[in-house]
Amino acid sequence: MTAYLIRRVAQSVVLLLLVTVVTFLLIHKAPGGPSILLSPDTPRDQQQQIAQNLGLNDPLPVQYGRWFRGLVRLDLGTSYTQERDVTAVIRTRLPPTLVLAGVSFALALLVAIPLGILAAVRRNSVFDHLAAFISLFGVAVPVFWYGLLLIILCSVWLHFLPSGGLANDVTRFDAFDRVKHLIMPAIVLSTTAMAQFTRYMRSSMVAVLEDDYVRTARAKGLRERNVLSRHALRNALIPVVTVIGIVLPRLIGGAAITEKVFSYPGMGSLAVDSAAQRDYPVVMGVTLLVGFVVIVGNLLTDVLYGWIDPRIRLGGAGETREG
Amino acid sequence: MVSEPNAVASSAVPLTLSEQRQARGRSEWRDGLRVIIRNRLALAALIFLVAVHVLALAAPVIAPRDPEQITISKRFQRPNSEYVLGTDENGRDVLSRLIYGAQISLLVGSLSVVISVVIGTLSGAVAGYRGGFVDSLIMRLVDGMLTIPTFFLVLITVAVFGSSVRNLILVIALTSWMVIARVVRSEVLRTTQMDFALAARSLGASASRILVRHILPATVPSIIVSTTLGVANAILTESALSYLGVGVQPPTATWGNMLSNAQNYLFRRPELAIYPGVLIFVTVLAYNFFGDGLHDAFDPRYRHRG
Repeated sequence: MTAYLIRRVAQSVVLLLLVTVVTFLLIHKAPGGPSILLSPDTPRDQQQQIAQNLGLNDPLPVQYGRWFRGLVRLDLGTSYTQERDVTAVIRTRLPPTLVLAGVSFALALLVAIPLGILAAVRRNSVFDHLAAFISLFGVAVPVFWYGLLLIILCSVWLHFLPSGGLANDVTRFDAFDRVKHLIMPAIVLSTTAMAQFTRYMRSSMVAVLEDDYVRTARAKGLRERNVLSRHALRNALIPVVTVIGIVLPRLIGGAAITEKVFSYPGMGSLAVDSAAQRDYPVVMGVTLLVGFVVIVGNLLTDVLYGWIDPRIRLGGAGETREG
Repeated sequence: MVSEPNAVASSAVPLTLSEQRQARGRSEWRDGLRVIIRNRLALAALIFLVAVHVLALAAPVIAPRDPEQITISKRFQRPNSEYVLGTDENGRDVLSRLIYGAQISLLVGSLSVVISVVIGTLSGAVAGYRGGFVDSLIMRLVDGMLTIPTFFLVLITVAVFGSSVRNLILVIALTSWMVIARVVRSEVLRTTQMDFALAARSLGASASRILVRHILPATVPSIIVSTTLGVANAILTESALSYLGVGVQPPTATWGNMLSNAQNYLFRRPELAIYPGVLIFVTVLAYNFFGDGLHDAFDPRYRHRG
């Protein structure tokens, strides 16, 4: 387990370095660069001056080295559009997204796990149909449209939820008001994750219920409740952990859209806005953070998986092959 | 997945290998079609998809008006005999914009999937057939790409490098070939073990001939199923990008950017935000249902049910 852990951590570090290089190159290959922000009236020598000040005339490795040294000190440069440090921009935008993503993730699990279990245990029941509906809806619905529909329903027609933003008055903290602003974005963002979790929970439970040890447990006369909770559920939950690795990237993409729909001031809307305005330092900062979250998330998922499933831990890193 | 060729087994005259394969192929497609027709949902989905494609292709003939014609004096018209679905904030005909918007969605959806199928099939086939180092190299790339938040990557790339339709198609294709590669690889691994592949090899056929003539045809059903789901995802991605303002730029109508305009007038004309979304949703749903139907159709377990 320790060797496996060390190898996975080392892999993750290499991947992170790779992400910094790719991010840097991507942005530097980008057309326009910061000069695009200058009006065409700016005199040539002044443009040169600005490029010189930003260090854009140095060779690429030098620029990367400078940028990377800053990165280690958490100095990501200054935003082109906001005249603030990128780190400061991210610091104000990160907490709302963590709250939104955390609540959505919890909501998805709270619905998906019981529903997936019920759907598997009582096949073709109402629960099974509901589970099928949620799985399909989450895959097919355009997230932004779902958000708009909720706004039309709850804000335009029923007037009981605010149509967007973080709070009515951001300078004051009013818990009730914050929660009201969080309800619709959280529902929308949780849809895709809920669909994935429901689908996997159900199929995993169905598979486990057909296993020999479940039959054995039933045959020796255990109560159905004990068979389900002690024998089936424990084993059925294991593969669901790996779904986190699938859900995480989608949650990040979904956050970008959801936050734009509800004008929610988080990392997602920051990513969209800075990309659209070609605010490269911010784009690089956000991309790095996303890369970091995904890589660490996957590492944690793997470790968690190995920890809860002794077969993986003891049997070496078995390669999983999906069809 | 491939069943015993029962149509062939009953025939009196022994058939050659290639005749057997042809006969099986034909009955497979015919049986599959029968399953689709019996599956009401898949059939309805297919009919809807055909209708949407015809509408999109025939847009210049069918659309009542120029979708980009601005008539400020007629903005926000309610549905009437002149404008069947009313007009938007610039007095443009909503129905015509919906019809023309289908062109972009379907174009981006189908072309990006064609490219991703080519990439996915090639890499999956090479990985599965070659095995060894090439296999693990390709499959580690697939694993890596699957953990990337694809939408985020597409968003940044398109915003930075420009959002021409060509760029959209390329970026979506380059971030969506991985699932097909996996499917093809596992099908190739499975098929390579089968007797007909072994027979071809023992007859001295070259590796590429075995792959192209014998193994890849067996993977076609799985590829087609993945393709339908791929189109659905590509349509969702394109519309989301256009909604966010980094996709196809106005005044060109797409379902996504129509929604983005409509959001500014939600309190005044909420229905403007409903039509394009319904079309995206139903189209994506239809591709999903059709894909599921095809999946069942190619699955022999469903084929001979009463």
